[in-house]
Amino acid sequence: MEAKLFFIACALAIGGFVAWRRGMKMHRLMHGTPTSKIATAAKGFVEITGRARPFLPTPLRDPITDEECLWFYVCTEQRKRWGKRKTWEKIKEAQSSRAFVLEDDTARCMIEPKGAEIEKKRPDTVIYEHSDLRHLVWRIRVGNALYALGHLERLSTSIALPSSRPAETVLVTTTNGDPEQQALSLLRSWKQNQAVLIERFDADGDGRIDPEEWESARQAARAQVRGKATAATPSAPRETTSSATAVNAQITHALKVPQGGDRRLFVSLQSAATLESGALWQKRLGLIAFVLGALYLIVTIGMKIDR
Amino acid sequence: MVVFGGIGVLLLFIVGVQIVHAYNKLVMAKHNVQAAWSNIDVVLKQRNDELPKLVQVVKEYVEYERDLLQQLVRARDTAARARERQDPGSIGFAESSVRAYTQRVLAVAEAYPALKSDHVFIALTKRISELEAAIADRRTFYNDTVRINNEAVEQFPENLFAGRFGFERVSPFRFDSVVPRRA
Repeated sequence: MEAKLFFIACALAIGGFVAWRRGMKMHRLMHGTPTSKIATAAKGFVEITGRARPFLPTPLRDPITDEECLWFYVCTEQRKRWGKRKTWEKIKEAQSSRAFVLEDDTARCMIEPKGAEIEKKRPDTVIYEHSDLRHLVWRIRVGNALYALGHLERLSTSIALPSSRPAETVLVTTTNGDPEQQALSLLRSWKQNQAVLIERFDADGDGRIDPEEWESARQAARAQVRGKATAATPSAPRETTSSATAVNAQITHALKVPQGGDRRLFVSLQSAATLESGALWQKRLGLIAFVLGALYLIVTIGMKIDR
Repeated sequence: MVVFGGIGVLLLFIVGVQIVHAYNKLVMAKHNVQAAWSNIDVVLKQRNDELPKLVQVVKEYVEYERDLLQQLVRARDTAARARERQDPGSIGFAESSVRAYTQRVLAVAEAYPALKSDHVFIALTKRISELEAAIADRRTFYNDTVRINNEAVEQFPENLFAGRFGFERVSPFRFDSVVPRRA
């Protein structure tokens, strides 16, 4: 019994200390970083809020319920018995890697989940396959209010926000109107943003574009240019711009993982006020747990030494 | 005896961690204010760099408003000198004058259709307008960082050692309403 209490006290002290420090850091970061507007924020560590929007026109679906979303995390848990106690243990997990967009009232910014800490509080869906196996799904859907902290940068080439008609998403033209040149120009604009290229054409998911996948990208660019050419009328004036322009909005910024320090790329569905309050409570409860655990250990060890 | 000693060490440890946290909070607040100020400064400079071009274009079309244009140039020079001193209070007043005279020049330009359709003038007014929007947003952001800094400096327990370590209150960046003098 005493050994059990000793280990509980150790766990409380260590866990409480970690929670206290984490709560302090998160509260300091959130409270100390005012909210920026994407369009006018300077490059650097920012706090932004807005609504979630899709990055690619093809919908993403979670593998458990096949529901449309912009990001998912799925976790399969099995109930294990430890003597009389039963606990749920994770046996499988998966997270989507597709980027999504955060839009505020001034601009749009892409966020890549890789390297990001996307907060998972209560799951969106819990499905029990049977009494000892369950699937939990967390999702970000179109229109969800988002809060994000991270390193904001302006993209070298802005990307069109997908419209409901994919053929209109990107229009790139060159001065001479040659379809092959137009396709090359389009490919060059896609190459400016490796994240877009990998998202669309990395079929084997190895994070690189191999020669076969690059050929797919070339075919897609030619098809897109052909699609615009058949839609154009003979009397339509040739456009001379060589930069990507969208029928709808542009994605002009990217939120990335900050380099160095204890800052992170953090995304949450909760509001800034709720998160700050949560961090404050984590700090307080962590301190209480740490003090209780440490006091028990001090008293126990101290009394043993005094004897 | 050992128990009391242990409790004493625990209390000292907690107080030490809190002091480190409070100090780091003040450092972060101070750096955020400096970074936010640099970000406004950049945009103010860009806006003020556009003004001589605006004056040049307007001069070509508008013969009778030279005094107004000279006042805008003087306001811009005053703002540039204030920026060298890096004092938000005097910069705020100087920039308020620049904004007021810029708006007057743009209002006067409304009466000259040839000027209004000049492509250089159109591009300049668009650019100045975008920069003004950026200044407004960054000013709000800067003032938020100032508020957080001032709260950190004044709150307990940070106020016990803020002054000792050189952490001070900062003035917010305000634009006062300035009525341009009639030429």
